[in-house]
Amino acid sequence: MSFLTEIGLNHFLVVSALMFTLGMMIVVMRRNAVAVLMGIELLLNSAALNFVAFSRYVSHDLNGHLAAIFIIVVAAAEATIILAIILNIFSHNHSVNVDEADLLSQ
Amino acid sequence: MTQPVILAAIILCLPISAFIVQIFFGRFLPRQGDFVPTGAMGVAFLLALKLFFVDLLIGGGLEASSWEVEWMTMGTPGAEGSWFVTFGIAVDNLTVIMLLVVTGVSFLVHVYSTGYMQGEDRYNRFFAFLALFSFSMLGLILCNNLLFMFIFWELVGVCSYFLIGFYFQKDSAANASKKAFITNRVGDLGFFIALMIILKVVGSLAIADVFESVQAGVWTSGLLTAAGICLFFGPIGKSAQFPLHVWLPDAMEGPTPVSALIHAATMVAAGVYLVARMFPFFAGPGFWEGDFFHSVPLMVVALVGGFTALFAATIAVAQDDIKKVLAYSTISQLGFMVLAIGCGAWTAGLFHLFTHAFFKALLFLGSGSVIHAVHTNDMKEMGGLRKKMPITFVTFLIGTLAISGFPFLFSGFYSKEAVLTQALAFANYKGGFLAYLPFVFAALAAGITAFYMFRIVFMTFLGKPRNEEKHSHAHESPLTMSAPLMLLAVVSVVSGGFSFLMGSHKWFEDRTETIFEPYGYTAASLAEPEDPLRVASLAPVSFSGEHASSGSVAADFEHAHHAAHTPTMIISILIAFSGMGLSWMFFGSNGPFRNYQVKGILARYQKVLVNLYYVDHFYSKVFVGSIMALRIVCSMFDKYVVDGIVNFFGWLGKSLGRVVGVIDHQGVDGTVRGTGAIFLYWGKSLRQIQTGRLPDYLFASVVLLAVLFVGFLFFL
Repeated sequence: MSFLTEIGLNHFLVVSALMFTLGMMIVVMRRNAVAVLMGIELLLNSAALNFVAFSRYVSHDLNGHLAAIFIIVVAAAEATIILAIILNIFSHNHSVNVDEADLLSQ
Repeated sequence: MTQPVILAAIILCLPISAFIVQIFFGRFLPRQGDFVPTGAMGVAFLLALKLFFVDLLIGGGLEASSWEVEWMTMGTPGAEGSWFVTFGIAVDNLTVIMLLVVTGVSFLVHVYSTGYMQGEDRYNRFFAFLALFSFSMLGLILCNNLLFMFIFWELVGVCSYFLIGFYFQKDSAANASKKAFITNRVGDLGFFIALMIILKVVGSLAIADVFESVQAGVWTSGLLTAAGICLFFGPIGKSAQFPLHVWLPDAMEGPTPVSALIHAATMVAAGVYLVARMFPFFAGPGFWEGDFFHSVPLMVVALVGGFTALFAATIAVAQDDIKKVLAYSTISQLGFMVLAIGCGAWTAGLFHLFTHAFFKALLFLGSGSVIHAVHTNDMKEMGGLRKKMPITFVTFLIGTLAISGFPFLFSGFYSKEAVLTQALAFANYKGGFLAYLPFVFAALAAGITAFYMFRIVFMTFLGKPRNEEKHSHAHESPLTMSAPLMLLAVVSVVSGGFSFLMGSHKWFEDRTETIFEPYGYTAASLAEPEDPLRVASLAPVSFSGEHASSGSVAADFEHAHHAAHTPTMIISILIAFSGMGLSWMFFGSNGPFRNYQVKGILARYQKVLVNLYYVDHFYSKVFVGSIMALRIVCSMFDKYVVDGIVNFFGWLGKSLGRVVGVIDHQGVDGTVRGTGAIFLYWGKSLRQIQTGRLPDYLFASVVLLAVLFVGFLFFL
């Protein structure tokens, strides 16, 4: 039962997978655009966690950390852009319900 | 080309040149150019006078001469069945006589017209047509080919049509011109059939070739008879013989100078001329043996002529229109000429043609002068014009005496007597009821002629004026009109006096009897029939100049002719005087029967006469009526059958169109639309997936990714 006593790579991967799944479910299911944005953050962070985990247990260097930092930066930038988009959608639809934002079907 | 031929060619060219000048430039010339055709005809008349007096009368006759040019080849040249159409001018004694008649009357009528037609509309065109007519008539006389004769024959017909319908704004004139043209077509059809038969048998339409073929016995007698009778249809139409006479009285709707020129003196004589010119053809091969008494066509000619003479004369008695009387008189006199030729005397027929042309032109021009003065054709409104119009009266009286056959002084007496002599000799020689008919008809007609002609004189010039107003306005016609009258009157008397000096019409007979000499017909050839051409060329002796040897047909007939001479002279004088006397009794101002009213059977007969024996009624009922009925049938046919077929095809096309439309609409369009609809349907269906919602896309891509991932994991 080593996995109970000893924290290893697999734990991180499982947590990451759970995070990814949760994030994906939030993105797909939630109606609120802000919630969707949060889901996306979850997805990004699960990926960043994977990078850090692989960097710590597999390659033993700092490349993964670097990528994680990049992801955090990108996520910050992305959050601003997405928020701007959400604001536009709100001003257009008077709601942040993503189901109502179906202009792509036209 | 001999000198007479050159002169004849010039005479022929003058009127056609005048016509061309007049029709194109006439209205730009002073006096509307009337002097152009008149002058041309004057020159032509002078040339014809030269030919007539110098060559014919003093010279004793012309040598027949001709000039011809090949006009075109029918069929492949040189191949069998091809033949030349030649245009030729032939001049002989007959031609010269006809030239004098046509140019003389035509010239005088031109002069007269300058007075009579003064101030009329289309004055210039009138002269152009007169010139064209003169040309056509001269061509008809001069050509030596039946084809060209037919062409000119039609040309004079069309000129007659133009001139009868000169006042075409009047319905009656327009109808009369149509009637004349169409009636003539009926006769011309026969003429044309005859030409076809001749062309088939002889292979040429040159008159000389036709005679040669008849003499050579190329013809079967049945075909010759048929062709002869068919050929005679032309004269029946043109010379207004029964039963195609109906157009001539109506033709009087034309201006009076036209009636004088075309419908009295020249064109209507063309038929007589044709029969005389083609006499050997009508007479058949027996002609060269001097036997023309057993030919069926000639018998037909004689009977038709005789019947027409009597028939038209009786109608003339009951007419009140002065021109109608003269028209029927013309028909009757043409019947005389035709009868004479049918009885074998083309000389007598032509002599009557010659004299009649002058005195009938005189009578017509005289009547024109009267009509010009009183402005009516109705004799019931005339009377007592003698004092007002002395020149017209005297000249008209001379014409009347001439046509009535007043003995010894006037030309008509000699020609009529010649005709009657021939008819009686023919009857005596041949025997039998039919042979006597022409003579009886002619004798009766001669009496009636005197009767109705004096009726005109009594009703028009003598007695008391019936219409004071018209009478008071009457005046003598101008010199342009009276001068031709006087000239024609002089000719009518002088030719009679000339005949008196020569002893009957011998001067004329001697010169016209020789017209068939070029075709091997002479008295000498009768004596020695085995070699006619050689003898003819050695000794051209005229037929009756010498007595042929007894026993031959010619000699026998000669005896009959001599025997008939004295009786007919007595008969014709008696008949003429009784006609005149009866006329005086009924119409003279002191006549014993002047107040006689017709009643009983005579009244009924008068009604028949006034109605022209109902011939016109019959034609308009039967022929015009049946054509009108046919018109309805044709219209029905057109409406139901032709239109039916057209409509059926229309309907067929329409139905076919409908079927094709359905196929196109349902099939082709269906396919096209179906294709579209399929894509549309699938598009619509697939569109459902495209919700436009990002989460859906994302979900789909995640699912796809998951599937791919699983697929990669398990299958690779």
